[in-house]
Amino acid sequence: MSLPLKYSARSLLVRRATVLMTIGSIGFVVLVYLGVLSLAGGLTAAFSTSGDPAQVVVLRDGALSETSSFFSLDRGREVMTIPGVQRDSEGTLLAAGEVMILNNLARQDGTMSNVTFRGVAPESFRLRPQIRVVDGRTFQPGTAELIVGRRLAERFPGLALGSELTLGRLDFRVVGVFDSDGSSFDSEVWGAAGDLGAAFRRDGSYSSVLLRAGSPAEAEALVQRIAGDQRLKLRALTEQEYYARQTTATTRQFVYLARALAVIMAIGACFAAANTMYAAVSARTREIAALRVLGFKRRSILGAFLLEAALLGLLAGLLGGLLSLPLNSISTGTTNFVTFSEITFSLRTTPRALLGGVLLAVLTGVVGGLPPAWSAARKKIPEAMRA
Amino acid sequence: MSGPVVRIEHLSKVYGSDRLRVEVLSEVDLEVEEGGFVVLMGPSGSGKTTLLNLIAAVDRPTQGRVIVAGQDTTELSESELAPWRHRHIGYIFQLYNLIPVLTAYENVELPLTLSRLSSADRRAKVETALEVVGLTDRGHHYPRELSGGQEQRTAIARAIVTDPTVLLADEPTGDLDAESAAAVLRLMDRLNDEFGKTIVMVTHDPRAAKHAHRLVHLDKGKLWSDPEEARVGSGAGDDG
Amino acid sequence: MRKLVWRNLLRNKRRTLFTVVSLAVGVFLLCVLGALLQTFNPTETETSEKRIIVRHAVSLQFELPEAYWRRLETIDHVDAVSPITWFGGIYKDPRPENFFSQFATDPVTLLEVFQGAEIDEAASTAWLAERRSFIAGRRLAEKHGWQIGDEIFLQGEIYPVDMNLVLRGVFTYPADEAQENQVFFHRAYMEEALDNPGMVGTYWLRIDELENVSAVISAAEAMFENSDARVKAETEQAFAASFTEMLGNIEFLFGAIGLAVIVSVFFITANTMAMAVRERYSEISVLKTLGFGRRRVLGVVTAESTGIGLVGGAIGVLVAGVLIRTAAEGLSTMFPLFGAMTLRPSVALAGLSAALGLGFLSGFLPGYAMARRSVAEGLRKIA
Repeated sequence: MSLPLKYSARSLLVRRATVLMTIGSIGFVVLVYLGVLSLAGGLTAAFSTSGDPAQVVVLRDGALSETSSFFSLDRGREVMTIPGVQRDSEGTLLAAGEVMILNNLARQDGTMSNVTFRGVAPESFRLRPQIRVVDGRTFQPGTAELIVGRRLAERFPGLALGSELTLGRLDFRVVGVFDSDGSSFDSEVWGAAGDLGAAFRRDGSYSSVLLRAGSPAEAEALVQRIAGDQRLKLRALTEQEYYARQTTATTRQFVYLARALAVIMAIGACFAAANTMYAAVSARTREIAALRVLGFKRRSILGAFLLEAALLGLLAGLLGGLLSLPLNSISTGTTNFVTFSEITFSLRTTPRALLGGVLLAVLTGVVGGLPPAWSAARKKIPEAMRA
Repeated sequence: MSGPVVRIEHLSKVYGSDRLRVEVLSEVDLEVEEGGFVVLMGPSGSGKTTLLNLIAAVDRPTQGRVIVAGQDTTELSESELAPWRHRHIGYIFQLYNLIPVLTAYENVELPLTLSRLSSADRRAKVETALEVVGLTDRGHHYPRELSGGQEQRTAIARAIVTDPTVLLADEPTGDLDAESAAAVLRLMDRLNDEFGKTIVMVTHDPRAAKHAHRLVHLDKGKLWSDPEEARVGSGAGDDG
Repeated sequence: MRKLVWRNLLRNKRRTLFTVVSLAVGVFLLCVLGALLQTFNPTETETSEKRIIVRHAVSLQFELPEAYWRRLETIDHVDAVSPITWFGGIYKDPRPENFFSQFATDPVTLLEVFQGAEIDEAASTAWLAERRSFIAGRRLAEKHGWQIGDEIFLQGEIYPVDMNLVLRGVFTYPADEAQENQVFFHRAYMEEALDNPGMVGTYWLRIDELENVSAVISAAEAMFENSDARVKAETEQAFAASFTEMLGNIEFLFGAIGLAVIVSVFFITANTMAMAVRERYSEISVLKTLGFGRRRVLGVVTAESTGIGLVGGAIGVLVAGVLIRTAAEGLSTMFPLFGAMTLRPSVALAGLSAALGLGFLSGFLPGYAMARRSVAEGLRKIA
């Protein structure tokens, strides 16, 4: 039989100041963990809404991303006519040959980063229905006009609506701002493939071709068909997988950092929990004796103090979680580790990360609380009575 | 049950190592009949509390046997002792030792959480115990909101709620004013008279001693009964 | 008075120990964060400051014509120019631990430009002579266990060709060991495989004197101002820093983490001191009745906590100093940049000061509150 939960819970409330400070110390461990993970969470969210499992990205064989991929227009057109590519009701192929160009531009704070310029075909918009122009209008092909992802427009002063900028050999004008529901396209600048290709002398090649299949299964079949065609020397993967790979490559660093920090800080915080619980045990020595005399077993005493330490951790976890919530409104940017181009995103604490943070805190409490709880359970009753 | 409820045989307790040996109890024999009320008196350091602890089996003797309700407690393991204490021992402390974070009601209820009782049964028992000690209206108060006397009566309710075989009280009036002390002692009397509780009480309050059937003196680890006081005890026993 | 401080620290040995340990963990973490942050700002050595990197103005995605090589050589104060192209191939598999920098270059001019690197005469001759050969930095060669004569296969990612190379030399770079994590091979070999497109990723320039750096940068940028491929020229540091810049505001991120670590540790030490002071409430009152002034009482408590801060901080810094090399080795498999991580005195000092500050503050705050409380109230607690 164990002691009631309210015993442990109320005992925590008695030593309020001490307990609050301990909760603070563990809570900040959780905050750091969640803060760094929210970078990974935000990146994952940005990429996950980018890729459609029923669409296929075609790259040059051997290339891992659109930035290092280019192949001739002829090969691009050939791959578009491969069986399995969908057509709309009017018979137009749902395929888009695109050019990707990285251009170094200054951020608000003056630092430089590569910005992705995507030269697109009219079909590109149909393949990415999440894109909506929210300010201004869309570009007119052939007139050197651009539209800019919302987040990018905020972060790069040179890309605000109405700005003019020289790209390669041509002068462009930003005529619209688009939103893509937080996907990675929010970090791109779009213009006509012909215009951007001409500006950067890339008009003879595509960086990628995007194809629409009937279903995710058909997309897989299409991938196999392209891989099997030795003549094409092209590499295909589903759009979802393409972005998933960029996600892991880019988020990995933050996940590792979060874990390393959490482990080291939690070790320190364990000692804080131990100090607090030792103080609690020593202040309640006679109480422990009384419980034992009433017939509570050592196990129950151990359990009650461990529960108290776990509750301490739980409260700290909740505090850390609560403190991390305002982070969700922050928008920031880093570099995509596959394409080496700017990716802007909003920090996001995922439910999974929150759960992990709370568990981390509870574990910290329990590990720190174990030695004091053990010493409480092992107290000799006659001595404890006299304390 | 026939025979004594508590039987102590050749009980010795030695503290410390060889170099610093302190014999707190030496060769003590004592029997307490069912329904008896024994008061242990003696100067401080005479081993009264140790003897009480040995009866409650919270301490182990160096030598000798303690038989409570037919069970030699020295033969029980540590893990068997906890449920045994729960079943047979009600312990009342000088400083009450109520759990400060639980209300009076919850303190009394606490030992019952160790047994499998329906919550209705549990409530009935707690309410009865609180009624016996006269604190029915104080159940929702926390220990710090009670007077010393009320705290001690709560502790008594906690000790009797499981209907233990023996009630052990260690200086129950030691920290109380005269009036509260008298109330506690009257309560002990009632528990003995009305409810037939077997009580062993340690005290050095002569007024408390008056309530005993039998008065036993401890001095330097040795036990001796006062023949005159013993007579008082047998007289009271006749009434029961 | 000193005796009192000392005895108090030993009164609850476990608590003092635990507090020291958690403080040490915090300081350790601060030191590691500081050391990490410094790796983002690469070592400034005189030779690397005298190197200028010229690249396409748009981004590294674009290459420069081969013809720029001779033209750059004509700039005043330029001693040597070497074409250096980032190959970016995959060694074994795309896992980060197998990632390293691979450059296609001209072996003759490389050795003139890459000053600071040391390679023995025989190896350099062998490298110059053989088209398929490559040289590797000592650290990288040790990590992969490469011996002279070993062959490696680099699968092209940026370029649609694969390189099959043979090791002919290992170079060291005493001034900056991070430079030892690279591989150089013949540009001619790659050009041939690509069917001679005549393009170069970047040009490295060696300048004669430091004071001429900015003049050369302007001259190089001006030289191609009206060309199709305009260039951007910058020092090697600025070039390396541009990659860090791309990562975003690393300093802010690390600063925020460091601050949270400090706050967390402060709660721990302050809690300990608050417990210690509370326990001694009555004792402090006795001291006051004996004629000890508030300031003295406060002094005892702060001396105690500052002592904890000093010891914890020192341990944290020491452990960081010992472990940071091991950590660097471990991290370098994941992030090559961190291989050069060391604990510099400035970081160690900052960690120690943080610990001292935390110690002082965590004793001062509860001590101050206590010193102001009434003696009578404290004495009542004794009874």
